[in-house]
Amino acid sequence: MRSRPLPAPRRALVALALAAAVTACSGPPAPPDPGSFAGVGLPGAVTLPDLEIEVDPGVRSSLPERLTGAVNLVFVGYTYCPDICPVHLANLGAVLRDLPLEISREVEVAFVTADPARDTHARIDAWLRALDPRFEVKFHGFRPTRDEVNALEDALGIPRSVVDPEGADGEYFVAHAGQVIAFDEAGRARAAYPWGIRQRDWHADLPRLVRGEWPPLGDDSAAELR
Amino acid sequence: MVQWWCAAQGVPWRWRWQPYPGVWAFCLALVVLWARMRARWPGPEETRRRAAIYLSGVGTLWIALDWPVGALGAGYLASVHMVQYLLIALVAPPLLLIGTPRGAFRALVSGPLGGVVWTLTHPLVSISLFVSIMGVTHWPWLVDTWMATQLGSFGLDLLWLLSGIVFWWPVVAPEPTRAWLTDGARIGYLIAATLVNTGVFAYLTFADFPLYATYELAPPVGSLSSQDDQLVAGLLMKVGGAPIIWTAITILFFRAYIRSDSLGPRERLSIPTEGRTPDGRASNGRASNGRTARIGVVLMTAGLPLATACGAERAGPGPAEAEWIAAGPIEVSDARVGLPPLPERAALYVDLRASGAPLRLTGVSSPDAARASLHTSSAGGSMMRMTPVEALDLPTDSVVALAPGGMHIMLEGLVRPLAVGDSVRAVLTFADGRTAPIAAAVVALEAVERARR
Repeated sequence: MRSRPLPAPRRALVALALAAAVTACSGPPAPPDPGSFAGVGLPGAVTLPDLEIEVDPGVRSSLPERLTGAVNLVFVGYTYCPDICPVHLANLGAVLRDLPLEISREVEVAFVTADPARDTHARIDAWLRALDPRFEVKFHGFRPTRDEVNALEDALGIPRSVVDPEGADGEYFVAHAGQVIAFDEAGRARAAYPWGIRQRDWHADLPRLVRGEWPPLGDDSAAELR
Repeated sequence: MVQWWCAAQGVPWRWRWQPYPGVWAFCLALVVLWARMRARWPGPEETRRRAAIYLSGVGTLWIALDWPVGALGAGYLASVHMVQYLLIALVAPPLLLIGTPRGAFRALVSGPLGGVVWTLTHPLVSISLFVSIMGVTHWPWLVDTWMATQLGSFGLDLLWLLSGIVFWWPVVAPEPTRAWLTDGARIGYLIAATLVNTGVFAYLTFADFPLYATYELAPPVGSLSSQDDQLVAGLLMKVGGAPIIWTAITILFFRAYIRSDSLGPRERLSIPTEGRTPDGRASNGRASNGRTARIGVVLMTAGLPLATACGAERAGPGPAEAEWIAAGPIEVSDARVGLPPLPERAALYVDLRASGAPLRLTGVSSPDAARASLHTSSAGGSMMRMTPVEALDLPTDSVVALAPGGMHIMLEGLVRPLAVGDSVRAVLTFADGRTAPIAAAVVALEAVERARR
């Protein structure tokens, strides 16, 4: 190599270009704060309600009997819900399909209908199947009566669902709590995931919940479920 | 609708040709520029073969930027986006550089920009720039932000071309020459480059979930999932980029082998050496030559003002991120329907804005559903409740977004089962009697929320 010292302005330019290159390389987004969770911590005072509910035609069981994962997620909704219920659960399902099996197999999801009049077992099954066509998510369908669902909601500490009056076309809506409640292996409610949780939030939180790391209690933890 | 540069519209992909005048103008400008340089600096070296090489470089750019590759890469498939990268940054630049008249290089390096060119084309600087631009332009935030606008999409293409020109310059350009940059050193330089794209390859291939919102949330093309699409993109970076660089390495190797070692590096490149100062730069270039060459480089690298201006104009006065489609008295963007788990009810989401006077939306209907109505999901505490909306005001100065967890158009009694990629029609009726027809793309339910760009 022929040595040929660069004039000062050129040396500066080279240095500048290299510095720019190095700075640019360190640009990618910082990982989310490892200490924070998307879910809101709950004190664990609420446990999976030991109420007998119909899980299949003529078969009664309970949430604690059916949910045996390291993380058990409970959501109350209805299959005619056009907006929040399917999107919330579809996001969750997409993430569970994506997570490694050793994580996803530890997560079970209970869908409790608040609309037993229209949500037959066949319908609940079909709805969950559409959200999870290849049986990759451990979904459980529960079909309590209206009285049972309200008792369950009381036990969970969430507001009671309400069947709205029928419209002119005979259709009606059901108002219901929007969050998914996460229970640990022992069946204690440890976190709430309100509507608005993104796929990337589930993706960050679920593996940690499976490993037994739960969100710390926040200032608003007590009020969260209401 | 005329497309200037990008096609990220959020509508299902169609194999229907669309004009890209900005791309044509850009490619035409490159040809015109070449013709002028050729007229200005004729010579025995300016063979038909080199003309063909230059034009094939322009042709490569044209294929990469025009419909359908340009449109698919801009808004639908990460893998096609990667093909664009390979064509723009790795294939087109060496062809353009080899075909550019030699006189233009000499004029450029003897002009006022000579020092900058000398610095930028130092192999250490050029490879650093190339690697940085490769890394940064595949960074999800930048891709998702830039690709959402015509200008950003154009800027990304330009940055790739620029990085490719700088990267290939030490390998194929005749000027400025460095005595120590032998064919052997060039081979080393290229081998180093084959190693660095492994980073981007690994980043894309081994990612746990889709990295780019642009492609994750794009209406799907065929049955390729966004994760697989990204995997293909990562593999393309590796198995597609390597052959290009290895071809160049092979050519350099055989050239070095065939030519005798008694020849100096400059002779190996068959570049006349008379009239140079010892540092290898031409000493007899005329100032006007330098200026024309500078204009050429500015055009090639800074982009054609026409294309840029057109892109900006196309983006319109509103938020530049979204593609707005005129529908009667309003404009709509990102109309989408989440594929419902069961077919009775589906929700249609869309962004609306009045294009003229403020409007009052009072009714919805759909030829694809028995009933259509406007609802809002409202939250009181954690309680979610569905409420019919009688009327919705659309001011002229802001966007009204119908989005999950808020307002939506509920479709009941769908006349046929939906599938991802279908289109669902709806007609909005306003208080003054005017109507706006809209078409919404059916997307996977989990894509509904993030389908907004």
